[in-house]
Amino acid sequence: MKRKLLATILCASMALATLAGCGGNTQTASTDAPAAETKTEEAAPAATEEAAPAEEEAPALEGEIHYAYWSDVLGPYLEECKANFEAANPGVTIVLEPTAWGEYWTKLETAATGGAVADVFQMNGPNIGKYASAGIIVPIDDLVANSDLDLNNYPQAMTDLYTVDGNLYGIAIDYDTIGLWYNKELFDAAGVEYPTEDWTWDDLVAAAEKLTDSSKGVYGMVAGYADQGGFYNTVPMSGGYILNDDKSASGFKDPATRAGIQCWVDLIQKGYSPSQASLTENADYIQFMSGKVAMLYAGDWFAATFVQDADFAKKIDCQYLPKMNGKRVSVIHGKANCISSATKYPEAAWAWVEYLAGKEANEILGKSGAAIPSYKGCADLYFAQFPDYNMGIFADEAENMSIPYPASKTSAEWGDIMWNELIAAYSGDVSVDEACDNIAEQMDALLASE
Amino acid sequence: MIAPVTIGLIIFYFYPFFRVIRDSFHNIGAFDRDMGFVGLDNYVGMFKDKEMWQTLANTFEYVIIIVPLSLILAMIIAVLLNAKIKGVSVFRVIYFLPAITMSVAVSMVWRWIFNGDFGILNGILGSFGVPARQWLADKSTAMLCICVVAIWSNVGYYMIILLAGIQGISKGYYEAAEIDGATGLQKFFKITLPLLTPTIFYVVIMLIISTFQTFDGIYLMIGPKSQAIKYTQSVVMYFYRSAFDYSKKGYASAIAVLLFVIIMSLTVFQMKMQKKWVNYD
Amino acid sequence: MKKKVNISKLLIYIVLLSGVLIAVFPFVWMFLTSFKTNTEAMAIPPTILPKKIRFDSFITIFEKLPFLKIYLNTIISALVTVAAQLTFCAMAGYAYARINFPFKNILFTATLAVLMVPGTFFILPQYRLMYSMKLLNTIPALFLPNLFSAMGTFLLRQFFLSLPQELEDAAYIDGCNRGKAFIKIMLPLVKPGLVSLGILTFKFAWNDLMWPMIVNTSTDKMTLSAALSFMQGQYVTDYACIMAGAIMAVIPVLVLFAIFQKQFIEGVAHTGIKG
Repeated sequence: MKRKLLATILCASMALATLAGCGGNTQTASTDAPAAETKTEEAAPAATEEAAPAEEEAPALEGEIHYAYWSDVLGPYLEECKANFEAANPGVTIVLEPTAWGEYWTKLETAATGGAVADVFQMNGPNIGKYASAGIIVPIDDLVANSDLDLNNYPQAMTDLYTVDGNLYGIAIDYDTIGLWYNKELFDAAGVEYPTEDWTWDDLVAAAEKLTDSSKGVYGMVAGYADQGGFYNTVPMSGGYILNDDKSASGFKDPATRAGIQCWVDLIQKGYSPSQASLTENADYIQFMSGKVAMLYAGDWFAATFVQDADFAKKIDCQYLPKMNGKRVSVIHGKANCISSATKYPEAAWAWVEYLAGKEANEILGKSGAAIPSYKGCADLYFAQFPDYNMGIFADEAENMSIPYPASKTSAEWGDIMWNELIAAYSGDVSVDEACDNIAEQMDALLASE
Repeated sequence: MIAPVTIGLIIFYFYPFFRVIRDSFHNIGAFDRDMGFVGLDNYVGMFKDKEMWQTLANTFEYVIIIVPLSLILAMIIAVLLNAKIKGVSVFRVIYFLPAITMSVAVSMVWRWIFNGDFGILNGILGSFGVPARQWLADKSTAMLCICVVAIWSNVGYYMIILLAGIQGISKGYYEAAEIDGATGLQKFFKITLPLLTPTIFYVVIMLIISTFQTFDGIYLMIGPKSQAIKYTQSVVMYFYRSAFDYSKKGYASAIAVLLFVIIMSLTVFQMKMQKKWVNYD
Repeated sequence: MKKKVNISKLLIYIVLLSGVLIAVFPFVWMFLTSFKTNTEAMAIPPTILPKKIRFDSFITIFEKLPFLKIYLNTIISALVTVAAQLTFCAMAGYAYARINFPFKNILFTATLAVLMVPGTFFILPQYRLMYSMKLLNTIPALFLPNLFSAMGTFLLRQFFLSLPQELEDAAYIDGCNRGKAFIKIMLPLVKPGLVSLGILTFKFAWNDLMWPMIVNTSTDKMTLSAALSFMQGQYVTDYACIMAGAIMAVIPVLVLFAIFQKQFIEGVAHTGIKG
C-alpha cells in the first residue's frame, strides 16, 4: 500500500517535471534529426522566450542511469543507443548492466528488494504482474500521454501484456514469434524434403524419424521442455489453453492441452530427440548448432546467434510452424523497458526509456539484427539483416496467426510450477497426465489467490 | 577489548538469529513483503513438502558418502606420506592444491569434465566402449559427481591435518612396538589410530559440518535449472532457492531453523559419543 | 628382507603417484581447454591437445568482464576481513583468556553459541541489514558481517590459554602495562594461531560464493567467485573462455601458495591440533 502510494506520487512528480519542460530536451532525441544539434537550438530560444525564473533554473537532465538487461546479443545496439543518448544529454551517463538469463530474475529481485535495482530494466511477460503489483516499477500512462510517443506504433499484444490493472508499465522493445529452424545439410544427407508451409505435425514427426541416425548421434528434432519455444504453441493448436480468458483457471485439466504437451514427450520417447537430460546439460540451440539435431523450434531472435558461426549459418533456414488440427498459431512475446520506483533520477530514466522507444533507437535495433524492433515499420530493417533466411514467416505469424502470451499476476510462480512438474514428464519420470493434474491443482489455487 | 567482536556479533549474528526464528513464523513473499504471522504454517508446509524430504535425504546421503571416504582417503595418504620416502614435501604440496583452489573454479572444470556431450570423461570411457552418459543431468549419477568433486577437494586438506597429528605421536611407541616385532598394519591399528582419535574427531566434525552445507558445487555443477536439482540439492541449496528463486523468505527461514537444529543435534551427539571412542591420554 | 622393503616402497609410490594424477588432472585440463578454440573444445570425440597455444580466450574475458576491478574487490575484501578478524579476535580472545570482567561467562557462552550455528542461517537478516544500511552493491557489503568471528575468538582464546601465566607476570614485573604486555609479549607467542586463523579466513573470504552473489549484483562490484559464476551463466557455450576465467581465479592463490606453502600447510595443520 505504502509502495503504491509512493509510486503514484513519484509518477505524478515525474509527469509534472515533464510538463515543466525538464524532459523536453530529450524528446528531440527520438526524432530523426541529429539529436545533439537540435537540442541546443531548441533549448536556447525556449529559455529566452519564456524567461521565467523557474524555467531558467530547471536543470538539464542529469544522473547516472543503470540499465539492466539479459540478452547478450543486444550489446552492440545498446552501446550505440547509449552513445547517441549521452551525446544528446551530456548530464546523463548510461551504465549498461548485462546479466545472464539464468541469473537475471534472481538478481533483479534481490536488488529490487533492497532498493538497489537498476533505474531502468528489461521486463518480460511472466514477471510483469509480479513487479507491477508490488510497486517495484512505476506506471507510465501519464508519461506516455505527455510525450510524443504514440502507442499505436507498437503491437497491441505487447501493450496489453505490459498493462496491469489498467495501467501501462512498460514500452515494448521488440516482439518475437516462433518458427521451425532446420539444418539443410542433415535433411540432404537423409534424403528428406525441406519443411514446407503446408507441413503438419505428423509430417514433422515422419521427417524426424527419417532424420534420426543413432549411429552418428544425430536426432531429428529438439523436444525438450520449452514454454514459449514449445508447448505454448502446440497446446492452442491442439485445441487446449494454458490460461483461460479471464485468467481465473488453468487449462491443464483439458485433454486437448495435454495432447499439446504429449506430442513433445512422444518425440523424446521415440528417440527422435535428445533426452531431456542431454538438453539440460547442453541447451537446445547449442546442440542444433553443433549439427547434432536437424530441427528446432526457436524464436526469430536466434538468427543473431546462428549467424555468429559463419559455416553453420549457411546450412540452415526457417519455416512456419507445422499445423496441428488444421490450425497454426504462434505465441507472441516481447521484452519491455520498465522504470524502477526507487530511481533517483526519474526524469532521466524516463528520457532513456523514451529514447529507446523512439524510431531512431528502433532502427538501430533493427539494423543490429538482434531482435524485431517493436516500432511500426522498423521490422524490415531487421529482416534485411538475414536475406538468406525465410524470415518473413515471423512477421506473418505475428500479424496473422499470433496469440497473446499467457500471463497473469502470478505467472512467475506458476511458471516455476509448470517447469517443476513438466520437467519430470519430459524426463520420463512421470506421465504427462500426472504432471498436468499436479499443475492444474497448484496453478488454479494460485490463480484463485490473485 | 571484547567490544568490537561483541558489538559486531550482536548486530550481525545475535540479532539475525532471533530475526530468522521470528521470520520462520511469518509469510514473507516477493520483495520481502511480510504478509503476517502464520503460526506454524511454514513448519507444517515443510513437513508436507516432498521436495524437503528428498532434500534431507540427499543431504544425509552426502554426509554418509563424503565424510567416511574423505576421511579414509586422507588417512591412507597421510600414512603413506609418513613413511620414509623421498619427495614428501612435493607430494604434500600437490595434494594440497585442490584444497586451496577456489571452489567455483573447481566446479567449473569438473562440470566441463563431466559434460555429457563434449566432456573428456565420456571421451575416455568411450574409448573403452562404455556408452556416454549425461553425468550431471541424470539424477542417478549427478549426486555421485558432486561427491567425487567434494572428496577430491577435501582429501588434501584433511590429509595435512591428519599428517600433523601422526607426526605428533611420540616415536617411542613405535620403537617399542618394533622391538615386539609388530608389523606395519599392527602398528597402525594399535598405535596410530588410537592415538590419533582426537585429530580424527576434529576432522569428522569439520567434515560433517562442511558437507552439510554443500552449496557451491551443487549450484555451479547442477544449477537450479536442471531436473536433477531435486535429487541433488542440499538443505542449504534448497534454502537458497526458496529464498531467492522462489521468493519465499518465511519458508526459507524455517528451513534455516531446521538446518540449525540438525547440525546442533549432530554436534551434541558427536560430543556425547566422543567419550566412547576418543582417546585423550 | 631388503627386497621386500623396496617392493612396498614401490607400491607406496604407485599409489601416491596415481593420487597425484587425479589431483592434478583437472588443473591440466583447465589449461589445455583454455588454449583451444571453441570448436576444438567441443569436438567429438574430445581432442586432448590444442592445435596451437592461443590466448584469445583470455583476451575475450578481459574484454567482457572488468577483471582488474574484480581482482581488486576480492583482494580488498579478503585483506580487510583477515586484518579485522586478526585484530578483533586477538583482542577478544586475549580478554576471554586472561581478564576478568562482568558478564564474562554469559558473553563467552553467547559467542560459543554463534559458533554452533551454520553461516547460512544468518544470511537473510544480514542481507536485510545491508540494504537498510544502503550498502547493497558496495564493496563494504562484501565483508562487513565477516569482520567479526566467533570462531576466531574461540580459536585464539585457546592459544592464549595455553601460554603460561608466568610469562605475562614477568612482563608486569618489568614494568609493562597490560596493553604493552599483550602486544609485545603475548601476541608474538600466538603467532601460529594468528597464521592459522589468517589462512582459514583468507580461504573463506576468497572463496565464498553465496554472500557476495546476493549482496552485489553489478559486475564491477563482484568478487572473483561471483564473477565466475556469473560468467558461466553468461557464456554457457564458450568453454574455452570459462576455463580461462577459472585459471585467472586460480593463479593468484597458486602463486601465493608457492611462496608461502610452508606457512599454509603448517597453519592448516595447527587448526587440527588446537581447534
